[in-house]
Amino acid sequence: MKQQDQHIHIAIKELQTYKAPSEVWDKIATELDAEQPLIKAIDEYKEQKLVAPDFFDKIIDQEAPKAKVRSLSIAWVGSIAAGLALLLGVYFMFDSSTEGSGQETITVETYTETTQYLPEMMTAVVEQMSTEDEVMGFIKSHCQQVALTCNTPQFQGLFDLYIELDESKTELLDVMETNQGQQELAGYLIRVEKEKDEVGKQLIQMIIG
Amino acid sequence: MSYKQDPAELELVNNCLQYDRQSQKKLYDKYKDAMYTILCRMLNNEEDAADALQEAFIQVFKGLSGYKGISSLGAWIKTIVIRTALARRKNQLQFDEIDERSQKIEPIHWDSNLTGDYLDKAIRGLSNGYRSIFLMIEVEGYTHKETAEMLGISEGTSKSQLFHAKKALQKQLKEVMYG
Repeated sequence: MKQQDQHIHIAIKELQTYKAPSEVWDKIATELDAEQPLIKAIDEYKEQKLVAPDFFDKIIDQEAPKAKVRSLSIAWVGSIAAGLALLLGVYFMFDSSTEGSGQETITVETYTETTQYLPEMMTAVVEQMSTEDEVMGFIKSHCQQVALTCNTPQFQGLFDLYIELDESKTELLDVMETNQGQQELAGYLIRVEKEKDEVGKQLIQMIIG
Repeated sequence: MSYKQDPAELELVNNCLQYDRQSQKKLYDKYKDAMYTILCRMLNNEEDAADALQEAFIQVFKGLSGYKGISSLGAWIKTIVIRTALARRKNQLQFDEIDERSQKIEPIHWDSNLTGDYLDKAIRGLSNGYRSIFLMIEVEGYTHKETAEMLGISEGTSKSQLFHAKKALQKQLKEVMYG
């Protein structure tokens, strides 16, 4: 049986070979010239470490309690600053030994300074945001009238989170535009948008009480 | 067991990855005839083979960053070339799912006057399916497992199809050799 097999194996080795036509390389080179930028971009894209998973982790890790902690930390800083300002005001009031009516004036002045600083920053951000953003439109039109709510640390924390989510959304859309067909990124985008909507609702809820 | 990479070949691959056209041409020249031969045999048509060669090498250069050096570069290119050929005959490749255990596979007695020239003519007379399976296993040395995976059939079917391909080849050889 082995001898029988040998006949076919010898014949296989004797099979005709072919020479590739010379024009094939020219066609390959032409196609490569046309596709080289895409091939290069795809290679770079494959090596690219997408930032999306990292910052997505950050977003999904921001569960409700964590978001509160974040807001609270801003609340603490704001409260400490206000407290210090108040103490300084009281100190200067007693130190100067002027009339008792000054206490109220200094306290009001200190409070006014703190409350006016934050809305200015918010206003600048609101102005930069898309006019199509309904939440921003609502904040813009209502915060000028209901300044006290908008200046609370809780509101500021949520507002910062809203801006951060909006930036993440823009960043994701840019990445998706560059690298089309990324199903994974579409999933991230949906979650970012949901989170942003949720924060937006909370902001509006705080304004309307 | 991983393949021990040839440093010169590795350098050639790296240069190709830098889109160096001369290196791409060098790589093409190194493998073009061997790959064209496979395509001519598989497709049974030199014009189709030339088109498939172009298509396969474009895929090679596009996918070169995916070559991890697990096998030789030639083996990696050959797989792309064979897959290209199979894709071109996809609609003409039909295999009945017959497990080799359900039928008796007897040894085939080959004529002692068999030559490469006769074999070449006989292979040309085979159907696309039989020709592909015979060439992949007996000529190119793929295992039944590898062949089955590339053809999308079971290993058992690959074995039974090879048996039938050899029987058909024997019949063709009789006609070619003795009219």
